[in-house]
Amino acid sequence: MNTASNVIELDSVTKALGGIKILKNLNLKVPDKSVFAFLGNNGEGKSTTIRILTGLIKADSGSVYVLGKRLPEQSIEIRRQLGCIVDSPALYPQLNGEEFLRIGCYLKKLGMREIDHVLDIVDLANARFNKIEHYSLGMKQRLALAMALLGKPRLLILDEPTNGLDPSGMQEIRELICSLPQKLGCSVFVSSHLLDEVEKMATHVAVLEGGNVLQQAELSNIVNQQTGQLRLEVSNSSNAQGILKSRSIEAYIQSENQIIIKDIESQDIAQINRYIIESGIELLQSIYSKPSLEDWFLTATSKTRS
Amino acid sequence: MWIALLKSELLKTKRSLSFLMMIACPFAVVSLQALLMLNKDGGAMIEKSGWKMLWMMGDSLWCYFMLPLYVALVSALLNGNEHKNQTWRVMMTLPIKQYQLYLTKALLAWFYIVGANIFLFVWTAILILLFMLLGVTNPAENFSSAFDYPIIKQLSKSAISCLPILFFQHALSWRVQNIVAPLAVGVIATMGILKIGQSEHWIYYPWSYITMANMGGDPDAQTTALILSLSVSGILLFVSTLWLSRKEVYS
Repeated sequence: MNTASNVIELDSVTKALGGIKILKNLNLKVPDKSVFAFLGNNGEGKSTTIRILTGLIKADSGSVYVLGKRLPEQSIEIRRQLGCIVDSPALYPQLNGEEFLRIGCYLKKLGMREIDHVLDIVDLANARFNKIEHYSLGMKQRLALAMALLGKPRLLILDEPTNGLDPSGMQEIRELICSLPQKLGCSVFVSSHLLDEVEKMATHVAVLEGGNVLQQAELSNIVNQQTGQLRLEVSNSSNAQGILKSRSIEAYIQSENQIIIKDIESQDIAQINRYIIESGIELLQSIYSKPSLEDWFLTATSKTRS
Repeated sequence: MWIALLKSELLKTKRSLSFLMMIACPFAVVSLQALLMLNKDGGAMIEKSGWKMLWMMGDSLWCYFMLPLYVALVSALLNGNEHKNQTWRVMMTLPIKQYQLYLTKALLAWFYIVGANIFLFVWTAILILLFMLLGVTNPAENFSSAFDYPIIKQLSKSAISCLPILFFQHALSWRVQNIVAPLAVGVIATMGILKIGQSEHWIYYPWSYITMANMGGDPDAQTTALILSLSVSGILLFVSTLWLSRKEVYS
C-alpha cells in the first residue's frame, strides 16, 4: 500500500515486451522531495519502468502508485501533477518554443503567464520565438524540461536528461535539476547511466538489473559507509610493506616507491602515516581516495553476475 | 477539454503541410480545369452550356479524384506529425485521454476537408472571374448564370459522404507509423472508384459514396449514399475509437 511520504511506490511489478520479461517483480519506493537516481545498464528496464510510471504503458501485474494515486486508473489526476521527459526530447520542429509550451498550457489548463515562468527557469526566454528546428540539442532538452515544469509539478520524471549533451550542457541541466526541489518543491526521479553525473545531483539511488532493484539507498549513506584506499609514496616500498604487516595491515606493492592499502577508513590514515614515518622510511606522498558511485555500481552489479 | 485539445491540435498544424495542402489540392483541381477549358475552346463551351458546366467539371474532378486522395493525405499528415517527431509520448503524458486525442484529430481532419471544399468554391469563383476578365467568354451575357449551380449543396454532400474513408484513413494512419502506407492505400482505393463506383456493388465500397452522393444517377441513390456514409462512418468511428485508444506508447 502506498504511503504519503513516497511519491512513487512500485510493488511486485512485472512487464514483458515481445515475450521477454523486462521487469521481474520490481519493488521501488521514492521518497518525497528527493532527487532519486534510477541506475542501470542499457536494456535493464529503466525506460520500461519510466513508461509505466508515466502511464504510457501498463504493468502486466503488481501495483503502481504515483503521488499516492494508482496507475492506470487515476492516470489523468497523476498527469496533472507530473512533468516528464521520456527518452530524447520529443518536440514539434515547425513550432517555436512558446507555441510548443502553449500546447502544454492548453491541456493543463494553465494561464499563458506560466510560459514566462518556465522559460525563465530553463533560461530560454530569449529564444522563445525561434523555431525549434533551429535549437541546439541542449536548448531542445531545456525546452522539453520547460514543458515538464509547466504547472509546478509535484514530481518530475526524467529519462536520461543529459544524453547527447556536451559537458557544459550537461552541467547546465544538472544544476537545473539539482535546484528544482528547492525552487519548485518537487521531487525528481531521474534515470541515467552517467554515474558521475548522478553522483553530483542525486540524494537517493537505486540500481536496476535484470528487471529487479538490486540496491536502493541514500547517496550520502553509500559514500559514508564505504571504505577507501590509501596510496603511499615511500622511499622503500618493501620495507614499508613489512612495517605495516607487523601492525597487521596488509599493503600491496605497486612499484619500488609505491604501496596501496585497501579497504581502510579515513580515520586510520594518520595512524598508518605515523607508522611509516616512525620507522624511518621517508613518506613522500599519502593519497586517500574513496570509491566513486561508479565503483559502487560496478561492485553491486558484478556481485549478481558472479 | 475538447476545445483545449482542438486548439492545441490546430496549433500543431501551424507551418505544416496540412494547411498548405488544404489550399493547394483544390487549386490543383481548378488549375487542371482551367487548362482543359482553354485547350478545348472553353469560351464557346461556356456560352453554349453556361457556367454550370465549369462547376460540374470541378465537382467531378474533386469527387472522383482529388477529395479521396486529400482525405488520405490530410489524415496521414496529422498523425504523421506525431509519428515523425515521436511526440505521442509528450501528448500521452499530458492530462488527456487517448480517445479524446483520437477523436480530436479526426474532427480536425474533417475541418480541413470542409476547408478544402470551401477553397474549391473560392478558386472556382476566381477562375470564373479570371475567364471573364481575360475575355474567354462574354461577361455581360454569362455573369447571371455564374453561380446557378448548387455548389454549396454539392460540397456539403461530399463533406458528409467522405466521412467513412476519413475514419478509415485516420485509423490506419494513427496505427501505422509509416506515412507511405496510408497514402498508398488511399491512392489504390481512389483508383477503384472508377471501376466499382459505377457498378451495382458500389454500396460495398465506401470510396464510391462521394461520387454517388454527388453525382448518383437518381435522387434515391444519392440519399442512399448519404445514409450509408453516416451509418458506416458511425460504426467505423466507434469501433476504431474502442480499438485504437488503448494502444501502448513505445515510440
